[in-house]
Amino acid sequence: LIKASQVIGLPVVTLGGDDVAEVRDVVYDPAQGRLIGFTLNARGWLGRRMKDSLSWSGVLALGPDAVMIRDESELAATDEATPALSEPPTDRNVLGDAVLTDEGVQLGMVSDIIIETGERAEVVGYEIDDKSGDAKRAGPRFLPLPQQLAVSGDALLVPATVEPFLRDDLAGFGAAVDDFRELLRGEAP
Amino acid sequence: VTSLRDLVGRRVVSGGTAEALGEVDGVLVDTATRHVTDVYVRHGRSDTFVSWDEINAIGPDAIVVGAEVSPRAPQSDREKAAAGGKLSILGKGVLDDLGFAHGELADLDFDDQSGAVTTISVEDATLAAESLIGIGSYAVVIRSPESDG
Repeated sequence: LIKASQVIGLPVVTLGGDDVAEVRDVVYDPAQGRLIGFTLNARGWLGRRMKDSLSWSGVLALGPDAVMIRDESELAATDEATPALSEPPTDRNVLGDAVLTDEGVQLGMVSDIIIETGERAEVVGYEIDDKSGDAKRAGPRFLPLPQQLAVSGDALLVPATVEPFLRDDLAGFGAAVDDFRELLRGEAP
Repeated sequence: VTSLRDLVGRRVVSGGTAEALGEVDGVLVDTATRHVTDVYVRHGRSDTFVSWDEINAIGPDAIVVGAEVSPRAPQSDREKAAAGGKLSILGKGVLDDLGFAHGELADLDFDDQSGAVTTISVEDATLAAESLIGIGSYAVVIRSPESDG
Protein backbone atom coordinates (compact mmCIF):
# COMPACT_ATOMS: atom_id res chain seq x y z
CA LEU A 1 0.00 0.00 0.00
CA ILE A 2 1.25 3.44 -0.88
CA LYS A 3 -0.19 6.92 -0.54
CA ALA A 4 -0.62 9.02 -3.68
CA SER A 5 1.15 11.92 -1.97
CA GLN A 6 4.22 9.69 -1.56
CA VAL A 7 4.21 8.83 -5.25
CA ILE A 8 4.48 12.46 -6.35
CA GLY A 9 8.13 13.29 -6.95
CA LEU A 10 9.26 9.66 -7.31
CA PRO A 11 11.76 9.13 -10.13
CA VAL A 12 10.63 7.19 -13.19
CA VAL A 13 13.50 4.76 -13.81
CA THR A 14 14.15 2.40 -16.74
CA LEU A 15 15.42 -1.14 -16.24
CA GLY A 16 18.64 0.23 -17.75
CA GLY A 17 19.03 2.41 -14.66
CA ASP A 18 18.33 5.84 -16.16
CA ASP A 19 15.93 8.29 -14.54
CA VAL A 20 13.87 9.71 -17.38
CA ALA A 21 11.23 11.72 -15.51
CA GLU A 22 9.57 12.18 -12.18
CA VAL A 23 5.94 11.91 -11.15
CA ARG A 24 4.12 15.22 -11.26
CA ASP A 25 0.67 13.93 -10.44
CA VAL A 26 -1.26 10.71 -10.06
CA VAL A 27 -4.24 10.39 -12.41
CA TYR A 28 -6.96 7.93 -11.56
CA ASP A 29 -10.58 7.13 -12.17
CA PRO A 30 -12.50 7.57 -8.90
CA ALA A 31 -15.59 5.73 -10.10
CA GLN A 32 -13.67 2.61 -11.09
CA GLY A 33 -11.00 2.97 -8.43
CA ARG A 34 -8.29 2.34 -11.01
CA LEU A 35 -5.06 4.20 -11.57
CA ILE A 36 -4.82 5.59 -15.10
CA GLY A 37 -1.28 6.88 -15.07
CA PHE A 38 1.00 9.75 -14.24
CA THR A 39 1.73 13.20 -15.52
CA LEU A 40 5.44 13.94 -15.44
CA ASN A 41 8.03 16.56 -14.66
CA ALA A 42 11.52 16.63 -16.06
CA ARG A 43 14.18 15.51 -13.57
CA GLY A 44 16.27 18.01 -11.67
CA TRP A 45 15.36 20.81 -9.39
CA LEU A 46 14.08 23.07 -12.10
CA GLY A 47 12.01 20.21 -13.51
CA ARG A 48 9.33 21.62 -15.77
CA ARG A 49 6.21 19.82 -16.76
CA MET A 50 6.92 17.36 -19.58
CA LYS A 51 4.69 16.94 -22.63
CA ASP A 52 5.00 13.23 -22.12
CA SER A 53 2.96 11.24 -19.69
CA LEU A 54 3.00 7.64 -18.56
CA SER A 55 -0.04 5.41 -18.66
CA TRP A 56 -0.35 2.61 -16.13
CA SER A 57 -0.04 -0.06 -18.82
CA GLY A 58 3.56 1.08 -19.35
CA VAL A 59 4.51 0.72 -15.70
CA LEU A 60 6.37 -2.41 -14.58
CA ALA A 61 6.15 -1.62 -10.89
CA LEU A 62 5.25 1.18 -8.53
CA GLY A 63 7.51 0.93 -5.49
CA PRO A 64 8.21 3.17 -2.51
CA ASP A 65 11.43 4.47 -4.11
CA ALA A 66 10.76 4.53 -7.85
CA VAL A 67 8.32 3.93 -10.69
CA MET A 68 9.94 1.28 -12.86
CA ILE A 69 9.42 1.16 -16.65
CA ARG A 70 11.03 -0.97 -19.34
CA ASP A 71 12.54 1.89 -21.33
CA GLU A 72 11.96 5.46 -22.37
CA SER A 73 9.60 4.45 -25.16
CA GLU A 74 6.89 3.88 -22.54
CA LEU A 75 6.54 7.63 -22.19
CA ALA A 76 4.01 8.97 -24.67
CA ALA A 77 2.96 12.45 -25.62
CA THR A 78 -0.05 13.26 -23.47
CA ASP A 79 -2.35 13.95 -26.42
CA GLU A 80 -1.74 10.52 -27.85
CA ALA A 81 -1.87 8.72 -24.53
CA THR A 82 -5.09 7.67 -22.89
CA PRO A 83 -7.42 10.67 -23.33
CA ALA A 84 -8.01 10.61 -19.58
CA LEU A 85 -4.42 11.68 -18.97
CA SER A 86 -4.90 14.92 -20.89
CA GLU A 87 -8.16 15.88 -19.20
CA PRO A 88 -7.88 18.72 -16.71
CA PRO A 89 -6.91 17.16 -13.40
CA THR A 90 -9.61 19.11 -11.54
CA ASP A 91 -12.23 16.83 -13.11
CA ARG A 92 -10.78 13.91 -11.27
CA ASN A 93 -9.58 15.47 -8.12
CA VAL A 94 -11.24 13.99 -5.06
CA LEU A 95 -8.92 15.61 -2.52
CA GLY A 96 -11.00 17.79 -0.24
CA ASP A 97 -14.26 16.09 -1.23
CA ALA A 98 -16.62 15.14 1.56
CA VAL A 99 -17.21 11.46 2.25
CA LEU A 100 -20.82 10.69 3.13
CA THR A 101 -22.38 7.40 4.12
CA ASP A 102 -25.58 6.31 2.41
CA GLU A 103 -27.29 7.13 5.70
CA GLY A 104 -26.21 10.76 5.38
CA VAL A 105 -23.39 10.85 7.93
CA GLN A 106 -20.28 12.77 6.94
CA LEU A 107 -17.15 10.77 7.80
CA GLY A 108 -14.63 13.44 6.81
CA MET A 109 -12.80 14.98 3.89
CA VAL A 110 -10.48 13.09 1.55
CA SER A 111 -6.87 14.05 2.30
CA ASP A 112 -4.99 11.31 0.46
CA ILE A 113 -5.48 8.28 -1.75
CA ILE A 114 -4.29 4.79 -0.81
CA ILE A 115 -3.10 2.67 -3.71
CA GLU A 116 -2.60 -1.07 -3.66
CA THR A 117 0.44 -1.58 -5.85
CA GLY A 118 0.74 -4.64 -8.03
CA GLU A 119 -0.55 -5.32 -11.49
CA ARG A 120 -3.95 -3.66 -11.19
CA ALA A 121 -2.84 -0.63 -9.14
CA GLU A 122 -6.19 -0.32 -7.51
CA VAL A 123 -7.23 2.58 -5.33
CA VAL A 124 -8.41 0.71 -2.25
CA GLY A 125 -9.01 3.51 0.20
CA TYR A 126 -8.90 7.13 1.18
CA GLU A 127 -7.18 8.87 4.00
CA ILE A 128 -9.82 11.13 5.51
CA ASP A 129 -9.50 14.04 7.86
CA ASP A 130 -12.42 14.93 10.05
CA LYS A 131 -12.29 18.68 10.32
CA SER A 132 -15.88 19.00 11.50
CA GLY A 133 -14.82 19.72 15.06
CA ASP A 134 -14.94 16.37 16.85
CA ALA A 135 -12.13 17.12 19.30
CA LYS A 136 -11.73 13.48 20.34
CA ARG A 137 -10.40 12.55 16.93
CA ALA A 138 -6.83 13.51 16.22
CA GLY A 139 -5.12 12.64 12.97
CA PRO A 140 -6.42 11.06 9.82
CA ARG A 141 -8.32 7.79 9.47
CA PHE A 142 -8.21 5.30 6.65
CA LEU A 143 -11.41 4.40 4.83
CA PRO A 144 -11.69 1.20 2.76
CA LEU A 145 -13.47 1.67 -0.57
CA PRO A 146 -15.92 -0.61 -2.28
CA GLN A 147 -14.91 -1.63 -5.79
CA GLN A 148 -17.49 0.71 -7.33
CA LEU A 149 -18.26 4.13 -5.97
CA ALA A 150 -20.70 6.96 -6.60
CA VAL A 151 -18.71 10.16 -7.13
CA SER A 152 -20.24 13.52 -7.96
CA GLY A 153 -17.45 16.04 -7.69
CA ASP A 154 -19.08 17.34 -4.50
CA ALA A 155 -19.20 14.22 -2.44
CA LEU A 156 -18.41 10.52 -2.36
CA LEU A 157 -21.06 8.13 -1.16
CA VAL A 158 -20.04 4.98 0.72
CA PRO A 159 -22.15 2.31 2.45
CA ALA A 160 -22.71 3.01 6.16
CA THR A 161 -21.50 -0.53 6.86
CA VAL A 162 -17.95 0.74 6.26
CA GLU A 163 -17.73 2.39 9.68
CA PRO A 164 -16.37 -0.59 11.64
CA PHE A 165 -13.65 -0.95 9.01
CA LEU A 166 -12.16 2.53 9.46
CA ARG A 167 -8.57 2.32 10.70
CA ASP A 168 -6.26 4.76 12.46
CA ASP A 169 -3.12 3.59 10.70
CA LEU A 170 -2.08 1.77 7.55
CA ALA A 171 -0.90 -1.32 9.41
CA GLY A 172 -3.65 -3.86 8.92
CA PHE A 173 -5.52 -1.59 6.54
CA GLY A 174 -5.14 -4.07 3.67
CA ALA A 175 -6.98 -6.68 5.71
CA ALA A 176 -9.70 -4.16 6.56
CA VAL A 177 -10.23 -3.52 2.84
CA ASP A 178 -10.50 -7.25 2.15
CA ASP A 179 -12.92 -7.80 5.04
CA PHE A 180 -15.12 -4.88 4.01
CA ARG A 181 -15.31 -6.05 0.39
CA GLU A 182 -16.03 -9.56 1.58
CA LEU A 183 -18.96 -8.18 3.57
CA LEU A 184 -20.29 -6.27 0.56
CA ARG A 185 -20.09 -9.38 -1.61
CA GLY A 186 -22.03 -11.27 1.03
CA GLU A 187 -24.81 -8.66 0.92
CA ALA A 188 -25.04 -8.58 -2.85
CA PRO A 189 -28.18 -10.29 -4.21
CA VAL B 1 38.19 -13.33 -9.95
CA THR B 2 38.90 -9.62 -9.65
CA SER B 3 37.08 -7.18 -7.44
CA LEU B 4 36.29 -3.86 -9.09
CA ARG B 5 36.93 -2.08 -5.80
CA ASP B 6 40.48 -3.49 -5.75
CA LEU B 7 41.02 -2.83 -9.44
CA VAL B 8 40.25 0.88 -9.36
CA GLY B 9 43.50 2.86 -9.15
CA ARG B 10 45.66 0.02 -10.53
CA ARG B 11 48.33 1.02 -13.06
CA VAL B 12 47.76 0.33 -16.73
CA VAL B 13 50.97 -0.40 -18.61
CA SER B 14 51.71 -0.89 -22.30
CA GLY B 15 52.99 -4.39 -23.08
CA GLY B 16 55.15 -2.94 -25.88
CA THR B 17 56.90 0.04 -24.34
CA ALA B 18 56.26 -0.56 -20.61
CA GLU B 19 54.98 3.00 -20.63
CA ALA B 20 52.40 3.82 -17.95
CA LEU B 21 49.14 4.70 -19.72
CA GLY B 22 47.26 5.78 -16.61
CA GLU B 23 45.28 4.09 -13.89
CA VAL B 24 41.97 2.22 -13.84
CA ASP B 25 39.03 4.52 -13.22
CA GLY B 26 36.25 2.01 -13.84
CA VAL B 27 34.75 -0.59 -16.13
CA LEU B 28 31.90 -0.65 -18.61
CA VAL B 29 29.57 -3.61 -18.22
CA ASP B 30 27.23 -4.93 -20.91
CA THR B 31 24.25 -5.85 -18.78
CA ALA B 32 22.72 -8.01 -21.53
CA THR B 33 25.66 -10.43 -21.53
CA ARG B 34 26.87 -9.49 -18.01
CA HIS B 35 30.44 -9.07 -19.22
CA VAL B 36 32.98 -6.32 -18.73
CA THR B 37 33.44 -4.81 -22.21
CA ASP B 38 35.90 -1.99 -21.55
CA VAL B 39 38.17 -0.64 -18.87
CA TYR B 40 38.42 3.07 -18.61
CA VAL B 41 41.76 4.51 -17.80
CA ARG B 42 42.35 7.85 -16.17
CA HIS B 43 45.28 9.69 -17.68
CA GLY B 44 45.75 13.17 -16.30
CA ARG B 45 42.28 14.62 -16.22
CA SER B 46 40.63 12.67 -19.01
CA ASP B 47 39.26 9.16 -19.33
CA THR B 48 40.32 6.91 -22.18
CA PHE B 49 39.11 3.43 -23.03
CA VAL B 50 40.68 0.03 -23.52
CA SER B 51 38.53 -2.83 -24.80
CA TRP B 52 38.47 -6.05 -22.84
CA ASP B 53 40.09 -8.03 -25.65
CA GLU B 54 43.01 -5.58 -25.80
CA ILE B 55 44.08 -6.56 -22.29
CA ASN B 56 46.90 -9.09 -22.02
CA ALA B 57 46.91 -9.57 -18.26
CA ILE B 58 45.24 -8.37 -15.12
CA GLY B 59 47.95 -8.72 -12.50
CA PRO B 60 47.93 -7.87 -8.81
CA ASP B 61 49.90 -4.68 -9.42
CA ALA B 62 49.18 -3.68 -13.00
CA ILE B 63 47.03 -4.29 -16.04
CA VAL B 64 49.17 -4.98 -19.10
CA VAL B 65 47.65 -4.16 -22.47
CA GLY B 66 48.80 -5.33 -25.92
CA ALA B 67 51.85 -3.75 -27.52
CA GLU B 68 49.85 -2.06 -30.27
CA VAL B 69 47.15 -0.74 -27.98
CA SER B 70 46.75 2.93 -27.30
CA PRO B 71 43.77 3.93 -25.20
CA ARG B 72 41.11 5.70 -27.25
CA ALA B 73 39.02 8.74 -26.45
CA PRO B 74 35.34 8.13 -25.64
CA GLN B 75 33.26 7.71 -28.80
CA SER B 76 29.80 6.28 -28.23
CA ASP B 77 27.23 8.07 -26.06
CA ARG B 78 27.72 5.35 -23.52
CA GLU B 79 31.47 5.91 -23.39
CA LYS B 80 31.01 9.66 -23.13
CA ALA B 81 28.57 9.19 -20.26
CA ALA B 82 31.09 6.89 -18.58
CA ALA B 83 33.93 9.37 -19.08
CA GLY B 84 31.74 12.03 -17.48
CA GLY B 85 31.45 9.81 -14.42
CA LYS B 86 27.75 9.09 -14.93
CA LEU B 87 28.11 5.34 -15.18
CA SER B 88 30.54 4.80 -12.35
CA ILE B 89 29.31 1.71 -10.61
CA LEU B 90 30.78 1.72 -7.11
CA GLY B 91 28.67 3.61 -4.63
CA LYS B 92 25.78 3.96 -7.07
CA GLY B 93 22.26 3.60 -5.66
CA VAL B 94 20.62 0.21 -6.20
CA LEU B 95 16.94 -0.20 -7.15
CA ASP B 96 15.09 -3.43 -7.78
CA ASP B 97 12.57 -4.00 -10.57
CA LEU B 98 9.69 -3.53 -8.12
CA GLY B 99 10.84 -0.01 -7.26
CA PHE B 100 12.47 -0.67 -3.89
CA ALA B 101 15.83 0.91 -3.02
CA HIS B 102 18.63 -1.29 -1.61
CA GLY B 103 21.37 1.12 -0.58
CA GLU B 104 24.54 1.34 -2.63
CA LEU B 105 26.50 -1.00 -4.85
CA ALA B 106 29.56 -1.95 -2.80
CA ASP B 107 31.46 -4.07 -5.32
CA LEU B 108 31.32 -6.09 -8.52
CA ASP B 109 33.46 -9.18 -9.11
CA PHE B 110 34.35 -10.53 -12.53
CA ASP B 111 36.38 -13.33 -14.05
CA ASP B 112 39.91 -12.23 -15.07
CA GLN B 113 39.90 -14.32 -18.23
CA SER B 114 36.43 -13.93 -19.70
CA GLY B 115 35.35 -10.67 -18.10
CA ALA B 116 32.11 -12.35 -17.02
CA VAL B 117 30.57 -10.71 -13.98
CA THR B 118 30.39 -13.34 -11.23
CA THR B 119 28.80 -11.57 -8.27
CA ILE B 120 27.70 -8.12 -7.16
CA SER B 121 27.75 -6.86 -3.59
CA VAL B 122 24.87 -4.71 -2.45
CA GLU B 123 25.37 -3.36 1.04
CA ASP B 124 26.02 -6.53 3.07
CA ALA B 125 24.61 -9.05 0.60
CA THR B 126 26.39 -10.81 -2.24
CA LEU B 127 24.15 -11.50 -5.23
CA ALA B 128 24.62 -13.71 -8.27
CA ALA B 129 25.41 -11.91 -11.52
CA GLU B 130 22.00 -13.02 -12.86
CA SER B 131 20.29 -10.51 -10.59
CA LEU B 132 21.92 -7.62 -12.46
CA ILE B 133 19.49 -5.98 -14.91
CA GLY B 134 20.85 -2.55 -15.74
CA ILE B 135 23.48 0.07 -14.98
CA GLY B 136 22.42 3.60 -15.80
CA SER B 137 23.06 7.19 -14.92
CA TYR B 138 20.67 7.05 -11.98
CA ALA B 139 20.88 3.57 -10.52
CA VAL B 140 22.00 -0.01 -10.74
CA VAL B 141 18.86 -2.10 -11.28
CA ILE B 142 18.65 -5.62 -9.85
CA ARG B 143 15.98 -8.28 -9.90
CA SER B 144 13.88 -8.07 -6.79
CA PRO B 145 14.60 -10.77 -4.21
CA GLU B 146 10.81 -11.22 -4.18
CA SER B 147 10.02 -11.34 -7.90
CA ASP B 148 9.72 -14.75 -9.53
CA GLY B 149 12.47 -16.14 -11.71
